[in-house]
Amino acid sequence: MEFLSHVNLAFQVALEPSNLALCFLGCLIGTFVGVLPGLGPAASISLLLPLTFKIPPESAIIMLGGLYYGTMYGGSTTSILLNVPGEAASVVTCLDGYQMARNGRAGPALGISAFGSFIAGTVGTIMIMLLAPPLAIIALKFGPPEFVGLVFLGLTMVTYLSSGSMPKALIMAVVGLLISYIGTDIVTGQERFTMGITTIAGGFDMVPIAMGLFGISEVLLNLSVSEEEREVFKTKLRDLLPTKQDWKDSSGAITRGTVLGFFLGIIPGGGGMIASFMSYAMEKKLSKNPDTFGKGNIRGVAGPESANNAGAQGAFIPMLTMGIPCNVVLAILMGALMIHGVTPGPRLLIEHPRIFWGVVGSMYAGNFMLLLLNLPLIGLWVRMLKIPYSLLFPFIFLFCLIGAYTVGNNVQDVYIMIIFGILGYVLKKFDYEPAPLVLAFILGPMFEDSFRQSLIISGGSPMIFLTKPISAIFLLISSILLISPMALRVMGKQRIGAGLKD
Amino acid sequence: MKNRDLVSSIVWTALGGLFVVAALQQGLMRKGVPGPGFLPFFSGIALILFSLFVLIPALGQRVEIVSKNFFPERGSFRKLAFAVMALFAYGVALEYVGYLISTFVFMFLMARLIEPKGWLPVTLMASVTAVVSYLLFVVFLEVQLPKGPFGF
Repeated sequence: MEFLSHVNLAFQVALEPSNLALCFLGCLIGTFVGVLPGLGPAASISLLLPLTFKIPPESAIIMLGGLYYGTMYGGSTTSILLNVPGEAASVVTCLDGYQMARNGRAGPALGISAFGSFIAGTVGTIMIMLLAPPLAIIALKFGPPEFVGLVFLGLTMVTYLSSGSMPKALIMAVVGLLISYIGTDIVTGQERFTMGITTIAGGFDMVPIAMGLFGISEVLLNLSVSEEEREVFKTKLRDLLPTKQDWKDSSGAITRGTVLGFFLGIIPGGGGMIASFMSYAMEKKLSKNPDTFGKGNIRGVAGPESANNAGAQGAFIPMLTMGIPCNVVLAILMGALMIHGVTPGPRLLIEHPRIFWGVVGSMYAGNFMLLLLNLPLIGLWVRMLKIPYSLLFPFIFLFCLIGAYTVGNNVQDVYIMIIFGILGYVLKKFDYEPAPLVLAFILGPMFEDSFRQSLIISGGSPMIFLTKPISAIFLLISSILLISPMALRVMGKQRIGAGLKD
Repeated sequence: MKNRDLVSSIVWTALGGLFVVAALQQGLMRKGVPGPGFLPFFSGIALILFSLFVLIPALGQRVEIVSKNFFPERGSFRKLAFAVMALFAYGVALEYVGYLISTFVFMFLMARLIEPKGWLPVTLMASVTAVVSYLLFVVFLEVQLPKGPFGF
C-alpha cells in the first residue's frame, strides 16, 4: 500500500503542468546538447543551473535530470549520421551505427537506439522505485565511519574506472580534496589555506568551479582548433521504425544492455562510457558471428545505447539515497539541491518525498517525451548540426558569465570561474581529466566531516574504520582497487578504463 | 607527452609540498583528535606520492624531441589570449557600465574578432543577444544583474 501511495505522489508531482513543462524543456535542451558535439551534459547542466534558483528544488532537479538523460538520447544521432559522438557515452555507437547508415540503414539505426533508450530508461526508472527505498533504509544506519568508507570507495572507484592513466586520475581526486579544504574549517572555525584572500574565506563554490572546468575550458579547447566541416551523411530519414527482424535481432541486446547499464550506473564512475563499452564487448562476445560487428550489426547499436540510458537512470540512486554522486553530472545536480538547502542522503526520502518521487515520476514522462522528440523530429536535429561553432561559443561564454555571477551576486565568482576555465584547458593539454577533481571537491567536506567525527567518537583511534564491518569492507575493496592496477601491470594486463582514452 | 608528464608531476609535487607545510602550521591534532591540518597534511603527502607514479615513468623515458604542440594551430594562442582577456574584462565592465552595455560589447568582440564577419550581422547579433538575454534574465526571471550608471 505504501508503494502505491509513493507511485501516486510520484505522478502527482511529475504531472503538475509546470513540472511537465520544465521536464520537456530539460529533455529538449538535453537532446540539443547531445546532438551537438563539443558541449557535454556536465557543461550544459552547470550553464542552466542559475535558471533553477527561482523554482522549487524538485522542479529544478526534474529539469536538469531531463537534460542529463536527454543527452544520452541525442548523443547517438551524431554517432550514427556523422561518425562523431555527440558525447562520450555514444562513442561505441559510431562503430556499427555509422556503418548501418552507410549501408542505407540510418533509419533503423536511429530508430532502434531511440526505442532501446526508451525501454532502458523506463525499466531503469522502475528499478529506481524498487531499489532506492530499501537502500536508503540501509544507508540510514550508516554512521560517520561508514560514510568515510563509502566516500573513500566512491572516489577510488571513480579513479579506477576513469579513462586514461590512473595515477593522473588519483592526482585529480586529491587536488579536488585539497581545494575543498580551502576556506573556513567547519569544526574549529579556523581559516585555512586562503592566503589572506577574503573572497575564498568561506571556501569555493561548486558552480564557478564546474562551469570553469567544463564550460569555459571546453570552449577554449574548441577555439584553439579550426572548425572541421561537418559532413552529414545524406540519407533518407524514412523507415525509422525498425522491422520485425530488427526487433528480433536486438531485443536480447536491449535487455542485456539495460540490466548491465543500470547496475554499472550505480557504481561511481561506472555509467555512461564504461556501460556502453562493456555492453558492446558483451554483445560481440555472445554473438554467433562476431565478425559482423563493426560492419553495421544492429546489436552493436541497440546494446550500448540501452546501456548508457539505463546507466544514466541508475546513477541517480547513490545520489538520492546516500548523497554520493556517481559522476560529474550528478555531482552538479547534487550541488543544485544543496543551493536549495536540500542535502541529498538517506534522509532525503523521508524529509523531501516530493523531490525524490517527483524526480522519479518525471523520468517516465521524460523518457516518453524524448522518444517523441527523437523519432518524429529527427530531421530537425540533423539540421541543427549545421549551426557553426563560431556562432555557438559566444553564447556558451555568456551563459557561463551570467551563471557564475548570479550564484552569489558577485563578480569574484566570475573571476574564479575564468581561472578554473584556464586551469581546465591546461589540465586537458597535460592529459588530465577534471571529472575526479570535481567529484572529490563535492565529496571533500562530507569526507572530512565524517572522518573527524569518527575519530571524535573513537577518541582518536583510527581502528574505528576497521572495527566497523561496513566501513572495513568498503576500505578493503578500495585498497584492492588501488593496488590491483599495479598487480595487473605485472601480469601484463590492463585495468578496464585504461584502454578507453582513444 | 613524457615531457609534459615531467612538468605536470613536478608542479603537483610542489603543490603537495605547499599543502603539507601549510597544514603543519594549522596544527595536525587538537586535544587528541585530528585538527584542521590533519587531512590536508595527508592529502598533500598522497599528492606527492601519486605524482611520483607520473614522474618516475616520465624520467625513465627519453624525452621526445617532437612533442605535440601545446597550441594546435598557429594563431590559436592569440585567439585564446583574446578570449580570456575579454572574459576578465567582462567581469570588470559588469560592475561599472552594467549588464546591457557589457554584454553588447562582449558579444560584439567575440563575434567580430574571433571569427571575422561583416559589421552589420555582428552588430545585430550582439544587440539582439544583449536585449533578449536582459529581458529573459532580468525582467522575466528577476535575476539580479548589475545596473550601470544609466539604470540598465
